[in-house]
Amino acid sequence: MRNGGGYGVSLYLAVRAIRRGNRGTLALTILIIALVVVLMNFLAMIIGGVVTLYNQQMVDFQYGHVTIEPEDRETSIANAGELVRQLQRIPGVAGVTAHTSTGTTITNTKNGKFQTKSLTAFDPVDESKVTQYQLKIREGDYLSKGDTGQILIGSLLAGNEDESQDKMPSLGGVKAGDRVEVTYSNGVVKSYRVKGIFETDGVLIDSSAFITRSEMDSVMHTGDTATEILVRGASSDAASALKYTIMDNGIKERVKTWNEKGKGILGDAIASFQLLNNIMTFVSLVVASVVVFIVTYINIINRKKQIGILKAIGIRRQVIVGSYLVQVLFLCTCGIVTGILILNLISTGLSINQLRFPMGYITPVIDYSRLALSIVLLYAVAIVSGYIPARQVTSEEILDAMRG
Amino acid sequence: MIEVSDLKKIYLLGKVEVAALRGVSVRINRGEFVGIMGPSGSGKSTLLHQLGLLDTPSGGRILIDGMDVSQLDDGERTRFRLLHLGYVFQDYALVSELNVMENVAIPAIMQGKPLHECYAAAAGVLEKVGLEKRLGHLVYELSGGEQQRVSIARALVNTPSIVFADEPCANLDTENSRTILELFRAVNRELKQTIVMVSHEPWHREYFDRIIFIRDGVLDEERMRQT
Repeated sequence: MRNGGGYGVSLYLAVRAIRRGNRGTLALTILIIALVVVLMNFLAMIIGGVVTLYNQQMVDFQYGHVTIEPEDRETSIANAGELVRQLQRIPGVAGVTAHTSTGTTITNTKNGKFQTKSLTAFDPVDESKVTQYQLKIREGDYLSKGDTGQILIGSLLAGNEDESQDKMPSLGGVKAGDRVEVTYSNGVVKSYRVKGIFETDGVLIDSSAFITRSEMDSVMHTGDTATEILVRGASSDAASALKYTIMDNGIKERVKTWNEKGKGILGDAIASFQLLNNIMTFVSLVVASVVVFIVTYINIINRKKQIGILKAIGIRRQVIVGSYLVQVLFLCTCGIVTGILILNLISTGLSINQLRFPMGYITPVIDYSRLALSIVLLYAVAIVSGYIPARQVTSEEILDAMRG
Repeated sequence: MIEVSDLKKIYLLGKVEVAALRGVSVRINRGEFVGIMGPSGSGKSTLLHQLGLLDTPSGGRILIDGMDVSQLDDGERTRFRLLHLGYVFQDYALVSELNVMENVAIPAIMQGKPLHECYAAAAGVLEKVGLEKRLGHLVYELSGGEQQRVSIARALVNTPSIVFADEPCANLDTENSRTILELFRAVNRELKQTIVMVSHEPWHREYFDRIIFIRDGVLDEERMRQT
């Protein structure tokens, strides 16, 4: 007995069922699957934006692309000036700045409020080639080379006169032009005029304070030493290559990329976000499988009689099941494509009208590897959810099915 | 040729066993146009369903052209139905998402023939049943008589050796019924196909070569002798 027409018939039946079926149901099902795709990827998109923002803040304000730290068992880098000049000569290096930090207590002379903070000294000209503090001055001015008796304070450290508005302990409302007193670890107490207040939206960053290297040297006699040297290269992605180029130039100090430096701080936060995201993905998959199952089941129950007819005239059960799987795959594909379009629309919309998060404005980033994974999972779920009801109904006796 | 011996069908309604066929033995020769008649609930449709492999008998044997089809598994029965049998049902049993041409062509397509050949064969039988101008119509756009003619065309497209018809005129008026019966008669004469048709209308008798009367799940021998 010859029986050659197999899965081509599945396709033949499926195409006609889609073309001549209920358009409203079709559109609604596609929309539901599309929303599942959006649901599975939206949180990841926002997390991607948060991570990108954090990373950018780390590069732009905390670590540059590469950070050079003192050798093991050393607390500072000696001959920092020479090292800075050596680093500046390395191809691909756009800027180098030496930081010297020391523990201090900063007191607001107006209200007596004080905070214990690490005060960092830099060369304002070198610094502007590596970090972007000069672009984030909220009031007053950025430091100038050779400034003495002047201090740059972060907005969170400066704080507000109304403490309830502060996100963290502050000096209680310091403004540009005000005076603060800095007590150094060597016992020196010096009064500084607040030259400027900067605001980056980074919590750790905006609670710091800066003076010039010459000012630090005048008090702490730090000379040509540095506690860290920040290097800016061509791009964040090239940081690793820059690190090895620097190491190849005979730098003995510890060389770390921004990513290696930030891992500890952000690792736990990102892991928590990812866990939430995975839970969300799982819930979305359950929703997707239930939706596809219900849609296929209702579709099949409504066509039970037709399935009976097809079986009666000699269409194999596998071919009928195949036709429903083709329909499910079609719905799934349309839903996925629509979902990707919606995601891109959301992404574009939120890039134009950025979401304001506590750490700054977020530009959503579509994680394409995660999107690919969600597509594969959705197809798998759809096939299983389509197969089970189709198999169940086609297993019924012909006459029972034909009775509807 | 169909040879049936001691065919039984028992349905289980809850815990109650209902014998729809209680040992039917009958023989239908190749090329015969046979009517199965009897009162409602006598087992006519049940007999047709067993002969047409739409249902599995509880006992007995069915030989079609010498092959014991009661021994076939589900897949083999499906293949047998596709290649050797045709069906016409009381409620037409057409696929609503397929148009007239596609409904008729689908059994041929399932055989793996090229699509253009299937459509040509479908167009041929549709011309025979007088629906050559309705090929692209969806089934709900046709009258009951037209839908039944589509159903007959579908039953004939693979040129099966036997066509089973289960009260094909039950939902039709007299004029349409006569058209359908004449169509069956013509097909039977021209193509020498065996046609087994269930009917309860006395006036249909004039079209049949022979009538199998059935009552309470057994052959009504006395009535068959009288006829």
